[in-house]
Amino acid sequence: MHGQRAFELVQQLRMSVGLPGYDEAGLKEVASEMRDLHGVLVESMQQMQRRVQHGEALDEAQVRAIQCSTVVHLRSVQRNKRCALAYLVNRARRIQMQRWELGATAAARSDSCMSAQEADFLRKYSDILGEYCDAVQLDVTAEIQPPSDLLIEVRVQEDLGTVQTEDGAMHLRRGTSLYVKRGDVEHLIRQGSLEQVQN
Amino acid sequence: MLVRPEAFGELWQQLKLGCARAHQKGVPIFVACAEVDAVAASKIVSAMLRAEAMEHTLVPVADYDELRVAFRNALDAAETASSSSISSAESKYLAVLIGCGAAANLDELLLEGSPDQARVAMLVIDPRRPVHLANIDSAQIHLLDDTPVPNEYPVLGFEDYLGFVPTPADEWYADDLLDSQGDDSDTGRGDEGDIGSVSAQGNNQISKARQAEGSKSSKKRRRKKVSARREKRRVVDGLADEDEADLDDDDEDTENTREARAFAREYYSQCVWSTPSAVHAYAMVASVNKADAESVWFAMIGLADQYFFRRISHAQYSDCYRYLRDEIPRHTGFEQDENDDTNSAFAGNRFGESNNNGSLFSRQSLEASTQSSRIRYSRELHVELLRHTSLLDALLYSSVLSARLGSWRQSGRRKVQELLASIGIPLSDAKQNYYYMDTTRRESLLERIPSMCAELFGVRELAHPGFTKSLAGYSGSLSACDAALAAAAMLVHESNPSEESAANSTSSHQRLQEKTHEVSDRVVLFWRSSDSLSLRPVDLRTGIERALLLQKVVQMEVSAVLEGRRFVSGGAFRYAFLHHTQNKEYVSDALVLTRIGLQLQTVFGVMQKARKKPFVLVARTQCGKFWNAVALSPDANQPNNYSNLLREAARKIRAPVRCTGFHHGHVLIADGYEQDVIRFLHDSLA
Repeated sequence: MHGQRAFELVQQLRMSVGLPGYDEAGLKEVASEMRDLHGVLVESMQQMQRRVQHGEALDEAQVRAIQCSTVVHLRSVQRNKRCALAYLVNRARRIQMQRWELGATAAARSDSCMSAQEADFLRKYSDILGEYCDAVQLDVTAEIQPPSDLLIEVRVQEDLGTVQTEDGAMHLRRGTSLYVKRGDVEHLIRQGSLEQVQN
Repeated sequence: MLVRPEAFGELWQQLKLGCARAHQKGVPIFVACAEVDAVAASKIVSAMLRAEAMEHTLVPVADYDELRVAFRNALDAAETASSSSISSAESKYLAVLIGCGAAANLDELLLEGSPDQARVAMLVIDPRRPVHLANIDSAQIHLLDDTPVPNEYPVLGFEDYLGFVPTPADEWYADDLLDSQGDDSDTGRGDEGDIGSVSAQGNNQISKARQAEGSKSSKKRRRKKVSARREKRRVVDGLADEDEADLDDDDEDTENTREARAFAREYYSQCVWSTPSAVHAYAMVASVNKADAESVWFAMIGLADQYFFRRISHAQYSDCYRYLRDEIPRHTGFEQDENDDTNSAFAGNRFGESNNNGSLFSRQSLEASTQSSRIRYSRELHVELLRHTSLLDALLYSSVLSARLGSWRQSGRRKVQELLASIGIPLSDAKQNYYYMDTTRRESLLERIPSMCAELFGVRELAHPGFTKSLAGYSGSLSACDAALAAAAMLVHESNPSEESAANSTSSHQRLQEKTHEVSDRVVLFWRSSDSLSLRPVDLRTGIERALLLQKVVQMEVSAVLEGRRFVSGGAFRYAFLHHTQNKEYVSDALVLTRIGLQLQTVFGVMQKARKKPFVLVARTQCGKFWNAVALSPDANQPNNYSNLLREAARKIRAPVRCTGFHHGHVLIADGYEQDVIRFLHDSLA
């Protein structure tokens, strides 16, 4: 069925959490299908032009069949295109979101799930965001949500060694619990290295 | 230095100020991770620091090695981060130690070699006594203490960092036993064996010790011969000590130093427990007006835990109980009438009674209990977990009653049924869940069970004062003792047969990894226990289910030891090896072993003919490479010096042992040496 692969591509993205692996093969299949459909469409249009030029008379049924085929093929191409673009744009949005939530280093760590273009996009986006933060002298990615408490309790899920913060260093050893400033550990909670304890 | 209760508040203000001047990033709190009292105390201190808006880090530690590493990491982080800011003379880097530290030389253990040694202040909340003499002298260590101050302290210097004073060999009969076997290995005995560093010579000595121990028939004869030899030695060259390598300064040993050493040994042999950490922590928090209803509840749990494990005497318990009881109205705003019918707390609150719908955790009770959540004091029975099981089961597995009636036997079960009949409770009613029992019968339990037990079986100490709390989401009330048992059950390692078989098949090369694995397990268990103290219904329910299971395991093991006559009774102490047991996974835990020992001590305490003696229980650890040896005093709060004695015995026969130092009378013995160490000590003290 026309557009089935493109639909699967979007569905796969919709069902996933975070950034799933870049489905290059799927996109190529969709592009190939679009080319095939476009070929059929062009062929059908050219065939009709030739018959008109040769003065062949077409009955109403034939005209309707050609019109219908043209619309179906054109719509299929458009639908595939929309699905492919939706896939790419949503991935780009997720990459942006990761950059805001996890920071530049952690976001770049998931480059195995990105295409070369997406990795390039992330790098450039990080550069722009960094330039902006420097310009306004404020880390706009920190504390996106207004905090309910200034200090929070967290448990360390994996050994992280000594982590430097604005006020000093913290030694994060697995199995310890910390009551610290939210801003100091927010990125580590997002990464999953720390777990927030709800009191 | 020791800090008395009246100075707790002032001390905390000073420490807080010094900490603020040092711009310290987070106060590290090191907590002994295998003890409910310490877990409860850590929650109290943590809540106080939260109220003060002070950043802090809770670090569970299992032994002094872990404490040393964790402390070093925390100190390094503080030094690198704020070396520039620690400039003022009053600025102090603060560390809090809960449930550990009092009995160890903390200066030597934690601060030796540190450049900022003088700028560290340690607040120690630990019930272990005696306090290491170095801690009393140190100005940096602040130990909360309310025990009577002795007239005189021994001289510092004879002990090691864990307060172990090596005994001169001439006081050891067993040492001479080795000599009488022609052992010429007197030299080089000074080093204390460590796990994993056993020499071939050591093994040779062990085998000789085995031979010596094996010929028990000629024991008396040999003893006479040895005492004659010892007397002869005394005459010839005074109190010459053959074991010169042990004590380098023996040649210069004057009468005074010998006396001083004996005094130090006597001081360190008085291993007892003082006021629970949780109660001390609460007293400190209350003195700075940061206490709340939750902290007083945690203090009650800590107290109940120490009382259940017989670490404190009834008099100590009563003192702490009165103190905490007087604190209740301060936080709850509810003045309980002195003549209030205490049965109501025991029989269940009104929500428990009206909500017998089959679920202990229900939405209706959640709504109702939220409005009425309160702490009450009441009379409690030594029938643990009664509110969470059937009356029959609770009586059968009760720590006091089962020991008195021998409820694992058919005759014991009959006695329990006889008791129920005397109280007037049908067996069918006693077999169903406690909360489904007839309300009128339930209310009369507290009065009738103690009186009937006293009348029928002479059991007079069945009731004791306690605390209960009604909880949101929990139908009925929960006693502090049950909460402590649930938290203690969560500290016990959960078995995994596949893991166990894998551990048995590993080579010695992998021991260290196993050890690390065990440590991480203990940390997980610590947090589970801590969460169960927070009284979240899910964690609490799991804890209580595990506590009920452990009750049965303990009784099963007690009956196996007694009925199978698996213990050795003669000598200065009784001992038993739990080799072949169907509950290996539980018995491998020191906490369960302690409970089995307590139950056995109760049984022997009841027997008229049996003399009161310490009991040493030995069982293989989970990984199978070591043996837990747990020694228990016959009565509550009696000195228990067995960790030092076991270390001494192991030193004499060069067996590798490891003393965590966190518990009196608990050591780890390397596999293959357990029998030698215990038998050697048994013969020596005979």
